[in-house]
Amino acid sequence: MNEIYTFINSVLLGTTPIMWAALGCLFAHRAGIYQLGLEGLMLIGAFASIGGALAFGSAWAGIALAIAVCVLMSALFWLVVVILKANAIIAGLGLVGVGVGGTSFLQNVIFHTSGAVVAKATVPSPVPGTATGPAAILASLSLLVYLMPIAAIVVWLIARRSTFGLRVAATGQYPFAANAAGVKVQVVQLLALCIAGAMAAIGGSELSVGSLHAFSYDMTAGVGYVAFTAVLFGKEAPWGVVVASLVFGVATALGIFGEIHAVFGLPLEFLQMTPYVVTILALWFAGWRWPHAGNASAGAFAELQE
Amino acid sequence: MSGTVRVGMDVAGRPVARDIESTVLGCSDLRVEFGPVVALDDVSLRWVDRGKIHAVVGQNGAGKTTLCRVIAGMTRATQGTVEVEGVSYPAGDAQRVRRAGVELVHQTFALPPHFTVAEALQLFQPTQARGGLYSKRKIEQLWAGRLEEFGFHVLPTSWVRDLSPEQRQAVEITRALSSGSRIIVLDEPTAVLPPEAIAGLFDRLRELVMNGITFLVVMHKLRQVRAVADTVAVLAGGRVVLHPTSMAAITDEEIARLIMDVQSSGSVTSASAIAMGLGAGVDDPGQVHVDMAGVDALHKTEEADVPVPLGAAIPQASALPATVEGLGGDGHIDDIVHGTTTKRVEPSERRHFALQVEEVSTPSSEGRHGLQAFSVTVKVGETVGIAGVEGNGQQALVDTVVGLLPYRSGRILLSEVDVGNLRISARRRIGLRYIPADRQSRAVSLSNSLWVNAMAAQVSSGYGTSGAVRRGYLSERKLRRKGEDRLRQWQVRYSSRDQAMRELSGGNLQRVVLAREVDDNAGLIVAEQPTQGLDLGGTELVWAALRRAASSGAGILLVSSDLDELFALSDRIVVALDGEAIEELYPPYDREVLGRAMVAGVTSS
Repeated sequence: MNEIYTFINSVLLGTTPIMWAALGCLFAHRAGIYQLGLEGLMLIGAFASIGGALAFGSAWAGIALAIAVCVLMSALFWLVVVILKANAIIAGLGLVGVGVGGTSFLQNVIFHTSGAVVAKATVPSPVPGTATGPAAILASLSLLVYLMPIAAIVVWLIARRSTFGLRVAATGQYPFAANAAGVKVQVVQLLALCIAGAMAAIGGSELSVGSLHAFSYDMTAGVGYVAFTAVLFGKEAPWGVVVASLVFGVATALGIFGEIHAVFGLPLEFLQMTPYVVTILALWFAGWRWPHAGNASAGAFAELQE
Repeated sequence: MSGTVRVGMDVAGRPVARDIESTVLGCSDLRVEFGPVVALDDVSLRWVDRGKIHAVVGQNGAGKTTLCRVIAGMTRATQGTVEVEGVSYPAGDAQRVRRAGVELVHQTFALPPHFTVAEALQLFQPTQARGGLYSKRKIEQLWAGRLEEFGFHVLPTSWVRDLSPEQRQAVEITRALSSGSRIIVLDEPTAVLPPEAIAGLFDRLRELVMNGITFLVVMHKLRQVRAVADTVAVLAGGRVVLHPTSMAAITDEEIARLIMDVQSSGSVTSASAIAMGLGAGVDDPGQVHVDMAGVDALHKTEEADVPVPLGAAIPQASALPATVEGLGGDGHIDDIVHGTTTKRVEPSERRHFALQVEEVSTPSSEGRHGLQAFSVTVKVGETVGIAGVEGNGQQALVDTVVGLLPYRSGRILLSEVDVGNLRISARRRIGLRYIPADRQSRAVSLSNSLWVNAMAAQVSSGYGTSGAVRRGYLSERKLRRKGEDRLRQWQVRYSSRDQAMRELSGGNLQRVVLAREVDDNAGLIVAEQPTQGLDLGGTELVWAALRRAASSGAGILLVSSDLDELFALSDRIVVALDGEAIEELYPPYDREVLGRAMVAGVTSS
């Protein structure tokens, strides 16, 4: 029984950062901008939240700082991509570089270490803790895990049931129509990117102050790319992204499970590949099964559930 | 409706004198320049009647679309003002003009494809949502009601991408009317519609006019203007050549003459008349006898029982040249025109086939019919028209013949050679030529230069390059020269052969396509909507080119939704319905018989 609890625990731990980042990134994609810099943003968010938690003694202050920094970086990204017309993929990769290099540099300058930076202040859990059993696991999960369903519902409301959501979608699908409807396309894109930045910051914070209570070099290790993929796999529809994030969360947990239990005596490194192999398979499946990209295209989860 | 005069009020019994004085819509001294090109040259127009349909006509490039866009504030003017309900606004102020109650319905639709109809309408009317959030069911009910109110049958739950052109147009008009606008500007509303939907649109417009809505409509075809408009204004070369004039006070010949901007010396040619959809029967070139019975048949008014023989209306060659700007003058074009009458081959005398399609079937896809054991033959020197409501297999027919779509069963022979599933280049060497309907993406490469576009087919299939290609090596110098020769021959208006294709206008672009696709080695020319969106000059050129190609031995497969074009060019018309060839018609053609076969599948046999 304990193993099942542990597995569910690692599914939730694996899913949370992916889902927060992916739900935010959904807005950027729907507005027509591929935010590949998500990986960098999450890393910056993870670092800023630890830094803020250490500086102000509160995890919430850390998260607030992370959001502020990531929104600022997203605005910069918007300037480069939308106003200066740089290629979004290249600029995104640049943002990842800034994230990896910048956090590593600041880690050395501020904390004088290239090892882990540990913070005492953590995000509390809403469930009171006990020593053993499922309650212990629930108590070990941060509030950010419990907020996930609420975030999903809010994202769905904004993306699929609000005037702003319509404007974002029109901007991404057919800027000519958006323009004709009096929508300021560039402003909508800025807002969408900032939402993506803020939610990537929360996803990154969950990794550092949320679950590990520490920051280490390149600690996202591809989670941002996985979240980016989850948006594509979920066909830019809120519930599609939720399902895709869960799929990747389960894959991550399977990887961890395999590491611990040495399934079939397979090498450890092989099992660690699981999340990434699943990502590739998911992309292939999405491209093969639903060739028409773009939000709300045929066969997307959004159309299936509506 | 801040402070402006409501249109309905005038209908509700104000003094007539006031009606005459106040302008419902107008513009003064409008001047629009795009770089060195003057699109509108001091245009002043004034429409006074509310609840009427006002038409603006003119050739391509006459400035009609620009006028619409300036009036609606979508394009900035160099100078001038726009008047709405007697109030003047600086031209180009979209917000204020909109608030004054003017809405533009675009020629190309401004609806996001992956939205539902309700969502798309909601996007344009955000004030309908409380607190920025909406309920799916509520907006669907709201827009279902609105669509019904305006007489349109469109489900608010359907996806925009699945709508037919007329349904998209319905949604656009609903969008325009829902903002409370009483003046709607329609930019070429009939250009995007299949012919059978045009009468429906006109019925809607007339109903809306009864409710006091005023329409300003840009149109190409005189037949349609005559059918629906109350007044007509004519633009030519960015200038007003006819101020809004009651349709009762002017004849079609006069309008046609003004559109062509013919000076006192010239006369409107018969081909022009046909191109404009007049349905003219011609006995004597220069004397245009206009027969409006065709219009009546199309729009189901009283005298619909008179069949109109149109097949005889092939224009005399002597009537073709010189009246259209850019058509007269040197060499080649006159040759084309001349060849029309002097060397016309009687189709039945030849025994050889240019094309044989035998019981070909293809799978259907996305609401478009595949072919169901479709058979059609085109003899050498013959022009066979394919008529049908769009989506009844025409696309599949063209694609299989050209080689873009594999077929499941049956046989296709080009010049009596079984092409099987031969590659396109191999088919071209046999003599296949293709003038696609989708000019921008299928017919040319917009980013490449003119000479590349003019020579591409010859290079890839290795014919007609005369020494420019030798053992796989290209001589770019020779190709450029040869390309330029072709451009000159076809009188393409260009500044440099290295110019990018995207800089050319529609009619000019089609000339480049003709320069590539119409040559002496052509065995079969597949012409798909070859004159769609072209002005009279362009239409005449394409028709003359196709006629000459047929007379010098090519077979022509003409797929067109323009019935006048089919009647004018075809030796035979095959009607496609649900992917089958259901009927074959011979001249003299009867518009009504063809219409019944197309729509209802009613055949004469």
